[in-house]
Amino acid sequence: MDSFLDSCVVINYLKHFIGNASLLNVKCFDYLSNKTGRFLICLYSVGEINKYIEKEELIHTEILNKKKDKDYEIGKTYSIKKVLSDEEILFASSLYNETLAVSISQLETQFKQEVEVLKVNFLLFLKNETDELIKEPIDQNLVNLLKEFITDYADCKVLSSALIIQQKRNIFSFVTSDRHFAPNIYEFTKEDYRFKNYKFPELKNLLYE
Amino acid sequence: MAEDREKKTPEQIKGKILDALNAKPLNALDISKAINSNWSTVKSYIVELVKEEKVKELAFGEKNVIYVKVTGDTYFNLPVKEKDRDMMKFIFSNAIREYRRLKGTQIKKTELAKLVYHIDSKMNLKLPIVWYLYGPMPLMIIDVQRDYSTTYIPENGRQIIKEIEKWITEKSKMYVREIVKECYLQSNAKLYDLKQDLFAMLQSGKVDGIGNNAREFYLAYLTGDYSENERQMVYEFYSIVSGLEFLNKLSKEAMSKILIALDGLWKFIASKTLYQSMIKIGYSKDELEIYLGSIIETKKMLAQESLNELNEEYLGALPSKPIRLKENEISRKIAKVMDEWTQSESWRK
Repeated sequence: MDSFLDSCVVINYLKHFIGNASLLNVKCFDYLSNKTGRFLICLYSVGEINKYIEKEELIHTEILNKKKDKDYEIGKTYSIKKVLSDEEILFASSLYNETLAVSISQLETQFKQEVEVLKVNFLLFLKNETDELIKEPIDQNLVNLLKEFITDYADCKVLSSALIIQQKRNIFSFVTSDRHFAPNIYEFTKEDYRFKNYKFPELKNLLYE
Repeated sequence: MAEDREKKTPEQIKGKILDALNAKPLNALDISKAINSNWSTVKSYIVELVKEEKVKELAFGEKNVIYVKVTGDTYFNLPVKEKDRDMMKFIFSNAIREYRRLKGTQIKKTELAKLVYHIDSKMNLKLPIVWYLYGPMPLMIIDVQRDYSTTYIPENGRQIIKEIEKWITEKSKMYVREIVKECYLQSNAKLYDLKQDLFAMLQSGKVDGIGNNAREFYLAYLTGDYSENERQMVYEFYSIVSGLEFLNKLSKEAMSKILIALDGLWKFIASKTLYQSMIKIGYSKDELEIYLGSIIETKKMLAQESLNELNEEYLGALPSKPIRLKENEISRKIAKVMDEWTQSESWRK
């Protein structure tokens, strides 16, 4: 069966290459490394993954700024606040505390390597492993409808892309590792009368497997 | 009112039409109201003015036609007030003359632009000075070969000339690039300064550490106003430059593509900066849409094309297989927090 990949599965897979070895990283890595059908990914997810890498770099920059100047306040500048949310700034502070004992140069080198390797491996994944890039425009009405069931807006956009192309094809898997796509929520969404004419992909949520 | 209309000669009507277009672009109906002439008369004279290349016709959709005055002496035909034009001519002509008197050579275009910016800031003249490709410049086109002599002498004319002399004397030992750099630093225009450094690195072929310079450029860009899409373009540029450096693939061809991409990107950024600086000096968004809207769009498209070319270079430089980093104590510390961040999905918002 073909797989339509949600952004987080690809990110968890990519993170495995830089040494992240959580159970979820391993599951995503194994799934994408043992390819059986074709891999589909939508343009929105490509943008989302690039944005993830950009944000990660900004988190790194904040930590290095703080390391170089103890008076620097993480996440307080206007430019950073425009890109990183308050929640993400908290993660940046946590990472700073976690790496207090690491020298600036070691941390700089590690950060640089991790980001560059993420970028390279993502492009290679798109080039060598992805069979189809879905470029259909997002259907805003469909996104709004999905939003009644699935709380995260970005998740709804990715699922709406999958739903649009699912109507024209044999059933494929919608592969995710996102908690917002819990199996019961997915089933509940499918059963709503407004989706009665929609053919849904089969959910494969690696977080719950 | 009817009698007034009868008294106008064709040249008078044309003059009034041009006067009406001095302040802002108008359609035929607005012009007829502004000069108190009937619509069909105005329309026929506009046709003549367009033929004489004194007025330009801009069409928006099928029916919406707007007319702009061809100034001939301002960038993008942007209108400037007559009193500002007179003041700029006064400064230009005195600066060209004083420079020749004091240094025995011709002032350069960039020097004159920075000198006018200095005089304007120092004496609070509120001239139409905008930021574009090379920093601040007057909206009136600078042509150092042109004769700007004017009979207009402002009240503070003497003081202006003194300030011109002082500036020329102070900068007499400086290269143009140093004057430009100083201007950027004094104006706190970090993005312009970093852009200049990047161009200098690429043009000289000395690109050690260019990834860091590109990152500083991207970070400085973040301090301004931008749309999500524009930010992505600047990040893409930085990301590719840093990626090519990491892969040790900064060949001559790659550097040439980086230079072309930077040039395209900078032209787009500068056109947006021009737009923003014009808003600051009082031009309306509607007006600027007419004068600059299509120009900015074209520059954006060209910037994206040159970025795509650069991206092709990066794709061609990729290794054949994914790179794997060995786990270490630092990577484990980082992963502990960053994994939580990934699973929090806050990055998706």
